[in-house]
Amino acid sequence: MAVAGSAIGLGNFLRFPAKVASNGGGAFMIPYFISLLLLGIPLMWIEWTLGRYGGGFGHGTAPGIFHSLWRKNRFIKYFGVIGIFGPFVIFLYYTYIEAWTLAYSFFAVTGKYHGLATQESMQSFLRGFQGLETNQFFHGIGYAYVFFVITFILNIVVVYYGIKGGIERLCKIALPVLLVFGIVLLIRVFMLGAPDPAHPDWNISNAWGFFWNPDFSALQSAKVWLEAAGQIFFTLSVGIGVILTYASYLSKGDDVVLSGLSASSMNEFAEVIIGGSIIIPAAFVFFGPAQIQEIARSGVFNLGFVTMPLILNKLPVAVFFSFLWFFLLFLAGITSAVSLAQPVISFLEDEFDISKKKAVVLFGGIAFLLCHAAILFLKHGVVDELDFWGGTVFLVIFATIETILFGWILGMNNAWDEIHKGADMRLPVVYKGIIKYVTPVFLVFILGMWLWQEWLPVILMKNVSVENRAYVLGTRIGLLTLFTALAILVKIAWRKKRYALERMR
Amino acid sequence: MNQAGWILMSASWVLIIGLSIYCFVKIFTKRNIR
Repeated sequence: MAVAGSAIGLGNFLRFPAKVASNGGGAFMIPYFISLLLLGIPLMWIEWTLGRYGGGFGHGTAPGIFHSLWRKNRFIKYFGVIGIFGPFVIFLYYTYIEAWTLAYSFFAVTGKYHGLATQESMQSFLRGFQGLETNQFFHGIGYAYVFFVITFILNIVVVYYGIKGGIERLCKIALPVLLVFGIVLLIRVFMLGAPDPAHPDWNISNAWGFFWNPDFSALQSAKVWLEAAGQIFFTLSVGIGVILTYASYLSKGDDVVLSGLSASSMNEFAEVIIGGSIIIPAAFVFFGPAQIQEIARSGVFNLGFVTMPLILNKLPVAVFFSFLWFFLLFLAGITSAVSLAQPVISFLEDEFDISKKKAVVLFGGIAFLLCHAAILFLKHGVVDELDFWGGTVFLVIFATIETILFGWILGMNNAWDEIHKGADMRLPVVYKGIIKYVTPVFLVFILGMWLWQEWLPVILMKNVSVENRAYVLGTRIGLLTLFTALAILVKIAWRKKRYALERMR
Repeated sequence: MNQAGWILMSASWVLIIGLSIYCFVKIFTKRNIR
């Protein structure tokens, strides 16, 4: 249940609609579902099982778990660094986006965006809030920064004390309320018709067509496949290392088959049936097919913040419903942010034997400083750059490594027995072949295709405007530095352990 | 929405809702789940 809480978050309601829209609507959905069945669900089972397996050796993060799996290979622990690096990088911008949801719930109560009825005004509101322009709504980044600080402190306090007591109860209530409220909004979206008389073709029927009509030519684009796989990983929290940490606390009798499948299906319900089906059709009827893609491409989380106030303003008691929607999103965001912080904290606890409280303070201090890159340089594409590497590419690489370790190093027969320990249901035998052959080949194929088609333009920043290149390059250097620093920490931790063992002998 | 769109949407919804119901039933008839 904790993983369902961590899996359902801003990825479902903000990132997914934007990814669908920016990748051409229906063109995205075939790669998305193939990725769910061949990558997402198998990886759920792999990570739950590997996490529980590693927990048995006293490791809660990828470097230790990978080392437990393949002791003869002294380099494998460094591949596990991605399992700490990925969630840390995502945490850096996720907290800021989470802060926007808290701010928008506050603005709903104060009526700051009440009465704004056009896409231009809502977009201008968002840009002003993000500090991208000075306008009649905002004169700088002050509001966004204050809400970031509040959100960051709340996240760290929850990590420090654990999700227990009031917050746990609040989140347990928030999740079902969010889903029920989502269904109500979905019905409202179905009744939108064609709200702009000047554009009768911007209607709900065409909106569903935009969302679901497949574009088979897009299947040749490596970027669409990579983005679809990346979204599956991001939304299910697989390929990040988060589930490894959660599952390391499980006992041999816990049912990882059902846990993984339940978390996947609940997450997909929240993402496709609720999040996507509200925001994509609503954005289409308000903005039209060209504009919806432009907004989605302007920032990976922007679409929901521009679209939702417009729908919510059309409901009775709009103030209350607007507050409720964004506040529930904020609560869903807290559980996810807390889970993103866990791998780094567990790594410090497990491998350096420092107390949880010290680890949280250390993590909080460093993360607070690094988050400023996402806040101050948002307009230069830093959040999208962090999301591309931390939230997409590295997830796919990490997933490839753990799938190979699981199916080939642990061995499929051992892996199959390990998955089924404590499980009521047996997985279909076809998944034995999928996990061993199809999932790794598919992952390598996506990565290979992406490298073939996109590697050079991405590295040379061909799609980045000239004025943003210094910031994007700076972000890349920063990511490389962070990765190197974490790899050095792994080296130090293992050296310490080796000395301790030698002294004992 | 065209025919391919309908098929894709229906298949997706059936898969997701079917899996969700199946898991709910399983969860409520079992105890050792986290």
